[in-house]
Amino acid sequence: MSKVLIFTEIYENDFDSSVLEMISMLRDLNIDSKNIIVAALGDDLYSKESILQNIPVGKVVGYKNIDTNQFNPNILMKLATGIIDQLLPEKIIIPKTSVGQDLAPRLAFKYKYGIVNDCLSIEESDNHWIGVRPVFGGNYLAKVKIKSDKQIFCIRTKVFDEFDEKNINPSIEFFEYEHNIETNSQIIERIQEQSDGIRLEDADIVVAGGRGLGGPEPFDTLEEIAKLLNAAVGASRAVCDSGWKDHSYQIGLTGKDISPNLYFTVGISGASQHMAGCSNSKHIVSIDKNVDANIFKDAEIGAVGDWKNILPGFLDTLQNLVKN
Amino acid sequence: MKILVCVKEVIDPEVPVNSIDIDSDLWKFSPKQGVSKVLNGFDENAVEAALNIKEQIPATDITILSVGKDFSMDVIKKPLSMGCQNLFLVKDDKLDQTDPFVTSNVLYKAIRKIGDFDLILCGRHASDWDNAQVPIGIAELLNIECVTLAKGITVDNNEIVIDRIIPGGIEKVKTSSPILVTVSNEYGEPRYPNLRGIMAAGKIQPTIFSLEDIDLTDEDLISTNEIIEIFIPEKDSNCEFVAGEDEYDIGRNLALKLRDKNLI
Ligand SMILES: Cc1cc2nc3c(=O)[nH]c(=O)nc-3n(C[C@H](O)[C@H](O)[C@H](O)COP(=O)(O)OP(=O)(O)OC[C@H]3O[C@@H](n4cnc5c(N)ncnc54)[C@H](O)[C@@H]3O)c2cc1C
Ligand SMILES: Nc1ncnc2c1ncn2[C@@H]1O[C@H](COP(=O)(O)O)[C@@H](O)[C@H]1O
Repeated sequence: MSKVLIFTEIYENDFDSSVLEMISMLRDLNIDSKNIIVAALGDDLYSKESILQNIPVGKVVGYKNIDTNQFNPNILMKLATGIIDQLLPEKIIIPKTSVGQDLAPRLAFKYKYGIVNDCLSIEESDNHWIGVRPVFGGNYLAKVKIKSDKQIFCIRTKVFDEFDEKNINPSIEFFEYEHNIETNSQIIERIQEQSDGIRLEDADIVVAGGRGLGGPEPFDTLEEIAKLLNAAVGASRAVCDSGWKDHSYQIGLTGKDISPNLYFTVGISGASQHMAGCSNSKHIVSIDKNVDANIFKDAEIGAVGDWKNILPGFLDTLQNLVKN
Repeated sequence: MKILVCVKEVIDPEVPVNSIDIDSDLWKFSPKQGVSKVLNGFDENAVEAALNIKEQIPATDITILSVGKDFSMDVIKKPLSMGCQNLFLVKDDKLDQTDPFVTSNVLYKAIRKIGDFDLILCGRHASDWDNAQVPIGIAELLNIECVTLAKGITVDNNEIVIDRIIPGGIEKVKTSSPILVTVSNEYGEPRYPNLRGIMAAGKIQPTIFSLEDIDLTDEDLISTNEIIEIFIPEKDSNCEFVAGEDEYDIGRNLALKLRDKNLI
């Protein structure tokens, strides 16, 4: 079996945990983690050797002293091509993170690799890897085979559990970058939205509202519930496009991917593009006035009716429960 | 400034699953009778971005380019009625496929034929196959840089600053022409065509290219992927609905049920 290369991002204090999900996925395909090479992308990796040591694969490679200009995609692309030139891998796995989803098609076009984007899983059939991916916003699933031997699979995050064997340590090889790293496009500033409270992606419970709420005001009630439950607040795209909530609240195909233990929705119909971002929640519980709403196909517990009447009963009871 | 916007006609993404037929030999989608095609939503955002630049720099010329097997004129002319100037279409029966490599090759060769552009805008992805690959392919073939996921674009002389969406915020990317940028819905609602725009669009004739016109070779049309199967994911819905005397009581019982199941 040839070696498989995974690209991953290395931040100030840790590597991106999606690499552990990718290792689990490969494990299901009978790829031993010792046969995996991780290509590390990040700033000044030489000083981060202790972080690289914790990636449980056979080998980690990366460039020593690079300033990536805050993960500038045009610079990462140069680094990634350098790594591919050195290793000539047949199969490349890229997690669909913000960085990965940009990088994967760039590499594919540059190197004429075939690519299956946004895979939920890879199946094996006659020694061929077949990517299973949603299309039409998730209304359909397509099984896609790459015709050439050079293959890139970009894999959705939060689908696989993190690989948690700790006693594997990689050998580490640093490369020197010898070409011109300059690009025409420079990141000059990063502006992070202020979020008071828990990050959507990290929350154990997410309380989300949709167009059915009718305006921005009812979100105050959702905030109140979230506070009692130590939860984060999210929204559908309809809500964000209407300006009721900022787009950083958006969950779904073009918003955030979440996988909380409890996903609690109010007035969200459950369009496939919305579910694309939350169907890995462990438990979905929904309030909607339409018993036929799509959301109830995914929900485990449902309450049918007008939220204006249901939420007060819910909130009063919740307050009592929390008090005791 | 010369701007090109690549737009695609897609089956309306909001229609129910059963309004689309799947051809299980060729694995192609086709809308059932009466189901409409629309302009890909993100492409309308890209058109809006181009028009905003034109408002700021009136000497801007906006060209629309689309590639496909056939087009509905009222859909594909929408950018013209919103205020764009030119329309180029590459039309051929062989273009009834979805391989991003093929589509990028065709768009690239068409762009070479049409001329040079300072700014090429695309949607962040097409809502049918959700590929998000074609723009990057075009940039790679044209050998220009690409900035994805724009929420804002400002042009100041030869300097272009893009507000790019990243997790939890934005980053400002300073770049210059020629550059390809993909636009996301966060850019803001596209304008509605007004009557004057619709009249003006009626007078514009699209330039239609065949594959020969743009010097496309057979090799350009070879797809890299093979679709093995398409299916509708099964969902065994077994939602337990909470009962109650009235809606307030349903809310109360819902909270109790969640506590019962240890979910809260
Ligand atoms: C390419 C593409 C990408 C997309 N990406 C995303 C994405 O990332 N995230 C996303 O969310 N969407 C996305 N969408 C949009 C998606 O298709 C839906 O349009 C959207 O999710 C609908 O939002 P909603 O459920 O809030 O609104 P609606 O579909 O309008 O649903 C509102 C619900 O509220 C209920 N309701 C109304 N009044 C009440 C009441 N008083 N009490 C109780 N219930 C009530 C209704 O019964 C209904 O079920 C995308 C679409 C496309 C085409
Ligand atoms: N057939 C096409 N004609 C013109 N532009 C296209 C076509 N296909 C894709 N594009 C452009 O590329 C973007 C991303 O498409 P995709 O890579 O297919 O998701 C779209 O939003 C369009 O701007």
